[in-house]
Order: sequence, then C-alpha cells, then structure tokens
Amino acid sequence: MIRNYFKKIKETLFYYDFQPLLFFWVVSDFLNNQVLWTKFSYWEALGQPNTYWLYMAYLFGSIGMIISIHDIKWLSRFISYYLILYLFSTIRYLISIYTTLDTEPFTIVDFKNVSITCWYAFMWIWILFKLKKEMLNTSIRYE
Amino acid sequence: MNENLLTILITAITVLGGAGAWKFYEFLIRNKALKNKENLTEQNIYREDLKLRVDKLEADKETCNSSLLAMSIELASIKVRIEFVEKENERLKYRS
Repeated sequence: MIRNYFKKIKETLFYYDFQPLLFFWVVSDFLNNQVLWTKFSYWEALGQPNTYWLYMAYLFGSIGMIISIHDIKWLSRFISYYLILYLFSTIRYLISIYTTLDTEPFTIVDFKNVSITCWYAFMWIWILFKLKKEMLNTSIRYE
Repeated sequence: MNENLLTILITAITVLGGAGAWKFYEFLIRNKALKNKENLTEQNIYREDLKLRVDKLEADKETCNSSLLAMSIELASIKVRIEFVEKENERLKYRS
C-alpha cells in the first residue's frame, strides 16, 4: 500500500502538467514556513501570537498538498483551505493598511507588498480553478 | 467594527461569492455539455435514418438488376427469333 502510494506520487510528478510545479512551489512554501524556524515565544514577544497559529495553519495546508499531490480531489480541498487562509491574510493586510492610512502613509513598499500579495492570491485562485475544471470535465466525460 | 471580525466577514463574503461564481460556471458548462450531447444524439438519429434509406435503396438496386438481366435475356432471344424470321422470309421470297 505504501509502495503503491509512492509509485502514484512518482507517476504524478513525472507525467502530469502542473502538479510537479505545484509540488516544488509547495515544498518551497513549506520550507519557508516560520513554524519550522521560529518558536511561539518569538511571535509572542513581537506581540503577534496569532501569526504563529496562522503559520501553523499554512503548514498544515502545505503538508496536505504535498501528501495529496496525486489525488486531485483531496488536492483541491487542501488548495481551497490554503486559499481561504491566504484570502484571510490578504484581506487582513489590506484592512490594516486602510485603517492606518491616517497615521502611516501608503508608500511604494506598501504598494509592492499589496501587488505581490494580490498576485499570489490570484495564482492560488487560478490553480484551484484549473483543478476544479479538470474534475468537472472528467465528471462530465463519464456521465 | 473589530478588525478581525471585519476580516472574517469580508473573507466569508469573498469565499461564498467565489463558490457561487463557481457553481454558476459549473451550471453553464454542464448545460453546454448536455446540449452538445443532445445535438450528437440528433445527428446520430439522422445518420441511422440515412443508413436505413441506403440499405433500402441497395436492396431495390438488386431487384432492378435481376429484372434488367431477365429483360436482356428476353430481348436477346427475341432478336434471334426476328433474325430467323427475316432470313426465312428472304428465303421464301426467292423461292416464289
């Protein structure tokens, strides 16, 4: 069973179109996750204990995507979960910029950060859309 | 309003909106696929009808061929008889 699972992962990485790219992206995302490199006390000292848990939630999503890269149904579920988290972070960031506009002016760095965040959000939406579309086409074909 | 609550609210609206948009897209694609399937069925029915007509015409062609052959045989036999009668007529003319 374990052998069959790893065989499926290998075949997906060798023969599929965008799953290998997603795999490399998610592995890089996993390795960049702050939970691996910092402790809860670090974020507590910064006054952002919730950020640690947010990173933990991201870690769970990344691991989920890595282990279900061969199973399109579960992969789409984990991507949906990750995307919701990402949208949550993006919206929180945009709201914090909007509410502090009076005290902190909107700089070029903020513009860059907002653009990159929105671009990544768009990327996750696009990946999820592609997967869902593939699943939909498969289900229509076998109806 | 609390910033976190606002964030959750906007995220929920975005996610629900996205899910609704996806459902609508899914409905459009399924509808399109269903229409294509119906068109294909109609085309298949038309093709089956054409096949039946071709089969019928082929069968008629066989019958026509058989009657044409019978008529040709009959004609050849009549030709031979006429030739014989003409020759006989010529011979009788010379005799008299």
